[in-house]
Amino acid sequence: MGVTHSRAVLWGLGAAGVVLGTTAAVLKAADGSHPVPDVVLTTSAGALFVAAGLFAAVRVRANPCGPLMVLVGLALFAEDLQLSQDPVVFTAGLLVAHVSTPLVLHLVLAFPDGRLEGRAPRALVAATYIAAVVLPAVGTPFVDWAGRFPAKPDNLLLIVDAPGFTTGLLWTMNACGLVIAAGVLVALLRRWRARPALRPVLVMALAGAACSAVAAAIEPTYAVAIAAYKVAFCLWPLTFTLGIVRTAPRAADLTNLLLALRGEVDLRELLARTLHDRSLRLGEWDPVTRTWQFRDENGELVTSAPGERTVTLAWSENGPIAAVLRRDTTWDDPRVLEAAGTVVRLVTEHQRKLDADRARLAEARRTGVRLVELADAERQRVERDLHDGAQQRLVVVALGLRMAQQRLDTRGDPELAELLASTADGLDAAIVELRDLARGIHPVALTQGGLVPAVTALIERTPLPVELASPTLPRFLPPVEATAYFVVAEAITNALKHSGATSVTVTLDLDADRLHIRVCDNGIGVLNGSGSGIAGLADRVRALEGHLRVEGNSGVGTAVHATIPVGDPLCAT
Amino acid sequence: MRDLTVVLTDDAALFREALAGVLGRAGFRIRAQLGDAAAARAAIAEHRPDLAVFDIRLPPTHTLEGLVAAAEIRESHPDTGVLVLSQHLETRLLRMLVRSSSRGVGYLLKERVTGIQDFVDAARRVATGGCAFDPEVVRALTRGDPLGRLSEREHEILSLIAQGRSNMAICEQLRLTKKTVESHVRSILLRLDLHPQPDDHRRVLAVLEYLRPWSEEAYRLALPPPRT
Repeated sequence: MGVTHSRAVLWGLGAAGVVLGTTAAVLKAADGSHPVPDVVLTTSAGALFVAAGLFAAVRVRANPCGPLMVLVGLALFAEDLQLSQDPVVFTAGLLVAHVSTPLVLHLVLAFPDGRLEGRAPRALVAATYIAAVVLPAVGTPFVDWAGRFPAKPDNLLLIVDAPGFTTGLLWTMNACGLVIAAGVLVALLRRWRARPALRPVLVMALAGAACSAVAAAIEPTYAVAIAAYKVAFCLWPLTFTLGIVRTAPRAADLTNLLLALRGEVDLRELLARTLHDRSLRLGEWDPVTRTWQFRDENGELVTSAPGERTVTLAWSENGPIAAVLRRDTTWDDPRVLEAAGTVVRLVTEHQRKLDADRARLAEARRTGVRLVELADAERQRVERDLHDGAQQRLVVVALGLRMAQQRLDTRGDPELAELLASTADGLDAAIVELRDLARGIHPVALTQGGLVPAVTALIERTPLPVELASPTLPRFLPPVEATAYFVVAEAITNALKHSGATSVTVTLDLDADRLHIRVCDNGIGVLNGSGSGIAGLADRVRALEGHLRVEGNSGVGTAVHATIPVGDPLCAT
Repeated sequence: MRDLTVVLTDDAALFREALAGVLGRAGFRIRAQLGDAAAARAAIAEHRPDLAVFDIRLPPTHTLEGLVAAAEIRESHPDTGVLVLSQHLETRLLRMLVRSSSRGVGYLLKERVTGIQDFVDAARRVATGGCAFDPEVVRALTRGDPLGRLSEREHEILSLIAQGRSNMAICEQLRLTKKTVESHVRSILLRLDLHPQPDDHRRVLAVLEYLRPWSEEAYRLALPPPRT
């Protein structure tokens, strides 16, 4: 049952409430048989129903409960029209004397969705409408109110006064009332178990029913019980309203939701707070099994418990995202759910993009490291081949030449001996050059000892005073160590070849996860004269996600500064 | 004087044969030629040679197996002189070799073999309990003398001391009088704040120790990383 209502209808209902309420209060007061507290209580109950109903109608437009509550309030007032001395109003009041009962029952059984679910509640409500509206209307023409009670005005619908018929009708109504009451009790108990969120409302309904039953059954307690019943009745619309207000969005919650967009947050926790349900869980649609996947705080899959409901909050690329609530959301402001859904979608998409970016970055990083590793492995292989192959062979050849030269010395062919000696000398020089070349390709000390020993060995060979400032460094992954070493080696070579420096300072430093390499000389300050050596190294450093900067100022010297991350995943060893 | 015995360990057979030729011709008796450290240990335990020559790189990892084996031999066979040959020299490795004494130990570049006589002299010194450190080691060590405390001549003499030469040998090589050399040596030790030592070997050790103050940490860092 979809009910839509314009603002005008709501205003009309409100105005009707005011008119009827005032009329009823005035009539009750004028009647004289009702004490003041009773007038106040019944008027309040009606007014509260009208107000709560209007409030609910504004908040949840599609839900018929709001208008139903207004009607209950109007009916409560209308029932008092029979107190009027005006025959027309009096007669109208007779027709609607019991009209609030079916409306209240309808409201209780339809609350909070506004729908009567199942045949039994529908039948109950229909039966009550018949018993409380149709039967009294049928009986009305057969009671001569003015004749029976001198203070009453004329019954304008009177046909004939038939006390026997009307007594029978009253008995029928009472019997129907008993059967309906039993049915209602069963229906309420079933709702009690199915919808825990409704319990406060149901308690009110049951308390009211109990009070009225006690009042009807035990004559002496009538006054007290009926008063309690009326108080309970007042509280009932208040309970509805409180429930609605409690679930109303607070500015702070919405702000928190928006702040969630900025960084990483516990979305579940935040939604639980915003939607007022601590047990809230977030679910994702599994397109494969075409089911919802709900996880608890530990990420374990959970099935939904009875009484829980799934609310779709947002649609993401992977399908809908939903929340499981233990609480009833019928009375929630749909705008809150919508806002929550928007935030969930944005956060989820943001997170997904972030994850994708991270994955891409990690992949690029891995590729860079792999390339550097590959190049290093190749250099290492070449170095080993030179050392173990060519260099050793050359040493053996040089040795042979020396031995031949020694023999010639003893046998006396000085010219040939001289030739052999100079050839051997040339070979020796070639061996030294080869050794330096191999070491420059990939220093063994780097593989075996790490960065500091390798740099120390490099400095020992450098024909320049080089000062090394370094803490004890741990071992890093080979690409990091090799790159750092080559930066130092290239900077020192440049200082030697191009800048005319007389001293060099090498500083190695490690902060949380980055290795800082700084090589400063006191030369003429070379920026681009360093050639492709430093440029190639900058590529290498970038491949490891680091950066390299060269500063050159005449008179101040050249400073090469490189930073290489050594943190995860580079220091996996 | 009996012939000095020697065990050679190098996985490069060509070079090992050439080395055996040089030492054999110089009067050494080659007891065994081996290609890896395990075999070398067994052979040295069996022959108890005067001299064990190791290539610093040996199978299986070709990193420092030869050096590690040499250091062990120095512990277990103090009478065997140990000579380590390397394609290139690193001062950080000296500590492993020269732990408590510089007796019967040498560390030379492989290519020194071609300076046949010098090499044979060095081998003989090590075999008879002396020491022989490559001139490059000393150059590398003293290059870092930032205060410039030593004169050129003193550097030269210090280098020869580290190579294991006696004062007498230094006199001959530099064509100086014994007195001059002795006064230079005293001056070197004084400038380096070292107490004069009567023993040549301890003198060498003291110089090496002074020039490169090793720490246990530096020693550990010099070891190859554990392979996984």
